[in-house]
Amino acid sequence: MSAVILRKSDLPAWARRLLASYRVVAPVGEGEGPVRYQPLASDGAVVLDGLRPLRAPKEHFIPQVEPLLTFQGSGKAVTIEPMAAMESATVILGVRPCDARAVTRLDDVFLGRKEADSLYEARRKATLLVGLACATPSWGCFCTSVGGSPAGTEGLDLLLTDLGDRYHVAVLSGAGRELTADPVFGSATDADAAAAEERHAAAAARMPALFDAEAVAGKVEWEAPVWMRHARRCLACGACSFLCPTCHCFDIQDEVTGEGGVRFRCWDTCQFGEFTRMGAGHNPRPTQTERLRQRVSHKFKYLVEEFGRMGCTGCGRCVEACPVNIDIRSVLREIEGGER
Amino acid sequence: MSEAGHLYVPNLAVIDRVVEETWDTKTFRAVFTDERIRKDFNYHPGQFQEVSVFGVGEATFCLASSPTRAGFIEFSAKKVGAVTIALHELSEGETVGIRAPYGNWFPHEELRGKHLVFVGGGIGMAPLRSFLNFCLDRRNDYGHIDIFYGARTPGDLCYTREFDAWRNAPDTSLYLTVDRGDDRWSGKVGVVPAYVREVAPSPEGTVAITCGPPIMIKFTLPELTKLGFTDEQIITTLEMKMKCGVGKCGRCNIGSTYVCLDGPVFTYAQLRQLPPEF
Repeated sequence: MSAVILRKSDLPAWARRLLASYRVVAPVGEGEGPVRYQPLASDGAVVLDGLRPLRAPKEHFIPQVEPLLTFQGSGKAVTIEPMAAMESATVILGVRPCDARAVTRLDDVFLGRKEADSLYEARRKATLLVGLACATPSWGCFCTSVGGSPAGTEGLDLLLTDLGDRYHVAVLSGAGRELTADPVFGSATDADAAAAEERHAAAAARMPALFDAEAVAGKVEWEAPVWMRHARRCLACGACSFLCPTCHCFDIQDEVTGEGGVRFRCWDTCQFGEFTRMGAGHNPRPTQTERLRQRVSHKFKYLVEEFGRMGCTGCGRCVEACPVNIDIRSVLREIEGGER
Repeated sequence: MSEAGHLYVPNLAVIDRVVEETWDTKTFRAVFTDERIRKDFNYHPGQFQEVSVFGVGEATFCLASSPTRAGFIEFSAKKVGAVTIALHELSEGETVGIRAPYGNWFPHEELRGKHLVFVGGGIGMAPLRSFLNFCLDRRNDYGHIDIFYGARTPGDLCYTREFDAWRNAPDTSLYLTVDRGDDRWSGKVGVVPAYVREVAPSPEGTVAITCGPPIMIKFTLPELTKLGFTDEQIITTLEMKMKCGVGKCGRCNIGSTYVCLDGPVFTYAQLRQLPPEF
């Protein structure tokens, strides 16, 4: 693995140069509001420091609402127009390691399971991920408990580590190397590499593993009081799923506009009662207890059975966003501890 | 599969015949608009489809027709939700969208030479009808066929126009029953599982294929077991809420099994391995 150095003062210049060839998505602040991944304006102003953005860059790969086709006409004269795949070359800057790792979990579903989803595939293949090692984990973070690290490289093309006035830039792929073919990058010394290592270790030390997620997978039980104990206060608001970087479930709906309309898909969640309710009324998951069991079991057991890796990267957003303080870390600790 | 681009693009088809099966159920015959798709479209009995009424949405239906009868496909829809209500409003000549065929199917090749016992209830007869008509069109490939079919009332029986063809097919018996009869009903009154117990088909070289309301399945399985059918000799097809039909939308899983990809057809032995969430 090679590495280069980027002075912080050169970051906007590099971002502006990237803008000449790419759509650049990066954490952008909204005044006093939250920092979110958004297309970068031409000035190249980026907010790379600070806590992880409110939302993962998931919405870049699976937009919250995505048109699938339009339809026109009635009777025999119906025509449909499928949406074309979007393939504009994109760089996402400042991706947290947990969120980059989460994209590889989206790949499992959208590139795998029999047939690839070409709409997703086009976006995925046209996108490069430039990560930023986490220096300050948030209070809900638990990546080290699920096999990740604040400096994890899975899914990334480059990983930036903040060294004060400059970034240590680990080059992780051929495409990443091309991104660093720019005069603003200098060579990294052994001392830079050692400094980056030190930062990584310091961040990880702030976040000791809370449980052994692999052990949890083997202990997830079907009938266990842990589900109802946590689910009984669930409001079914879906915040956990919508903010989750690996939750990918969607609904497909039609919207009518005049003589025609649009069919779109939109985020959906297993936490909603309607999710599995069939036309005639039968619902295999009738209460929040079954729905919480599904969400936790899916991430820590079913996906492990299916793809050999779990569907959680410990970003902690669900922990921090839940309005009734359902903490998946507690659920997992209780499962691991056999507390049922 | 669809011509254009991505997984969620349906092929257009025109409804060319609508049959009123019961007070709340209709069978629709659809013909693909594109001649090439019409000619090349092939499927297996037991597979399913996503049917759309544009402007209302998509819903999941089994293919109720048999691939041995080419040129069209059929599906039966009970009026229960937005899409099925819209379908019931459609007249002949109107356009729908169809994404199909999806899922696995009744193992018709492995079942060659076997005796078959079909056990259907209500609208659950739809997928069985596909396989039944398939077998009747290839009658020499299969042994004796018993058909048990029940509904709440005589007016709730679907496919009545085909009963004579089923009953008169060689080496085939049709056992109809209703929970409650009416003035004109001279046939059997009683529930399907009781009729299965009474007729007592032999499990020897036989496979039972069942689909119907959960309550019927629940009481039919023990009857078949008592007759000596093993869990491997009982096949069923599951209904689950689906949207995409292609393993992406995350809605139809039972544990790590996706009904849209791994099903909808399962043996009872396979179902016993799954979490009880269906």
